[in-house]
This record gives sequence, C-alpha cells and structure tokens, in this order.
Amino acid sequence: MIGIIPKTLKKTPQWQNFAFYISCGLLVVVILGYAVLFYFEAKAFGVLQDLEEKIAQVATKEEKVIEAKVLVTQKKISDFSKLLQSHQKSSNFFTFLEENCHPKVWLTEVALNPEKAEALVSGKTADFKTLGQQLFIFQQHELIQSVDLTNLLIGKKGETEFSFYLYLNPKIFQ
Amino acid sequence: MKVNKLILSGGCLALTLILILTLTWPKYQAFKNLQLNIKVKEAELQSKQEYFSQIKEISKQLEEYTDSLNKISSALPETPSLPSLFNFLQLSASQTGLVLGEIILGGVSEGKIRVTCRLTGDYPGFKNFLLALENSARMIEVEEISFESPEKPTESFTFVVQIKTYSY
Repeated sequence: MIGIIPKTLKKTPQWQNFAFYISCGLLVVVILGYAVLFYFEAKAFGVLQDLEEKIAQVATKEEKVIEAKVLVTQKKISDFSKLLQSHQKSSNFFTFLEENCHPKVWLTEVALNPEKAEALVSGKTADFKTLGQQLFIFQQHELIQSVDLTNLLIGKKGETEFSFYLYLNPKIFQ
Repeated sequence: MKVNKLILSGGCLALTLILILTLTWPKYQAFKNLQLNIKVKEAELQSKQEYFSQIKEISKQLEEYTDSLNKISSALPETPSLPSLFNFLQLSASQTGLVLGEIILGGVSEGKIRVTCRLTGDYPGFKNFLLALENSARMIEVEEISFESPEKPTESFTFVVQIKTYSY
C-alpha cells in the first residue's frame, strides 16, 4: 500500500553528531601531529648532523699535533717525577758503613742491592767481642731493620771471619 | 545511502588509535631520542672545545718551562743513546780515578737499559763514581754493587756495578 502520509525523518541524535565531529577532529589532529613531528624530526636530524660535523672539525691538524705533544710531555713529567721520588742514593750506604764500622773490623767484601734494601757484608775482626760490638752497633741503628749472621769462621791466628746480611731501612737511600 | 554516524565515529576513533600506535607514537619516540642525542652531542662539542682550549693553555704554560723540560728530556732521552751512556761511564770513571775494564750490556727492553760495569781503582774513587752516577743529568739507578778488598794492599779494588737507565 502506498503511503500517503509522509513519514517523519528520523533525526540523528545530537550526541551522535557530537561524537562524530569529535572523532573526526581527533583523526585530523593525529594526522597533523604526525606531520608536525615529521617536520621537527627532519629539522632535529639536520641539527644533529651539523653538531657531528662541528665535533669532527673542532680540532685542526695543528691543534692535534699540539695535543699529542702536550700528552707526551705530561706523561714524561709524570714518569719522571715517579722515578725521581724512587731514585736511590746508594752512596749513602757506604757513608753509613764508614760511620758505623768498628775501628777493629776489616771489611773484605760488600754486595749491596739497593732495590731489595739488603747488603751482604763480609769481614775480619780480631775477636768475637769486637764482632759482637759491631753487630750491636748495627742492630741498634734506626737505618738497619735486622742483621742476619750467616757465616762465622775462626782463622789460623785466632781472628774471626764473618759474613752477615744487613736488611736496611729504605730511608738510607733517600 | 545513509551511514550511521555512530559507526563512522567508531571507525574514526579506531583509525585514530591505529595511526597513533603505528605512526605518531613511534615518530614521537624517535623525535625524543633525536633531541636527547642533540643534547649529548652539544655537551660533547662543548667539552671538546674546552679540552682543546685547555690543551692550548697548557702548551703555552709549558713553553715557560723549557729549561726544566730539557732537563727531563736529558734524564729520559727519546732513544737509548748507548754510545753517549758508555761515554759518560768512561768519562766518570776516569774523572774519579777508576779504570773502566768492561761494560756488559744487559738488555734494552721497554725503555729500560741494564748495563754492568767492571771497574778497578780505590774506594774513594769508587764512591765519587757512585756520586757521579747519582747526580748525572741522565736518570741512572744503581741496581747492584759488589766488591772485594784486594789480597795485597798495593793492589786495586775491583768493583762490579749493575745500573739501570731509561729511554722514552
């Protein structure tokens, strides 16, 4: 049957229209946002490349030569000061021996190792008493850490032949 | 044809979400990373510029200490300079009244040179020789010393000295 009375058109509810426009707006914003990000990313990439070029060009050849020279000199000074601090004066040991050797002791052999701070001293004395006095002098001295008697012989004429290790205080070489 | 606006809205929102997840968010992350890299590179550039300006300043300061640096170069020569070392040993020995009988080269490695010298003479001369070694412009370390007194008082002492010196 043909309708004579026109039907009233169903109107879309207002909230549906609103939701449609909002969602369209969001879509546009996201697309625009992407475009803006694309633009800024390209710009930032350019800035980054510029910076990398600047970093690569920050030092000229001449400056790099100066840098190498300075670094070598710096290392040399550092090494030199370390060596100077550890520089040992082995002659101090002989001055020490001269000052602390008993008048009746005759030294026949000396072997000094400044790095290990030890010395092997061999000699002769008239008797044990003198040797005892000599050992006492060394043992009492602040520059001697310890004395180790290693060899003792009595000669034909009654003289004493001896050898001992002196373990030295490293300060003796300063 | 009429399309329900509610469905269109849903489609738009779904598309928006997909675009955010697949394009905009990764782009944003990449952009943030780039900005971070720029900050790092800026800091690197600044520190490099400061470093080289400091190097220039130090280089200028070092020029004021040329004498001291020359002394250090003498103490630690760039090459082993063995002939000049042997010449120094011979000269020091003769100046202190000793006779340099033998020089044995122990080895040259890692900038360290070991030399053993056999000398004859008297004890005061030997002490002066040691002092000459200790006070030489070139850094010389005495590693070992040994000597025996002669059997006859008229004979000379024989001294064996092992030294260590450096090259740079």
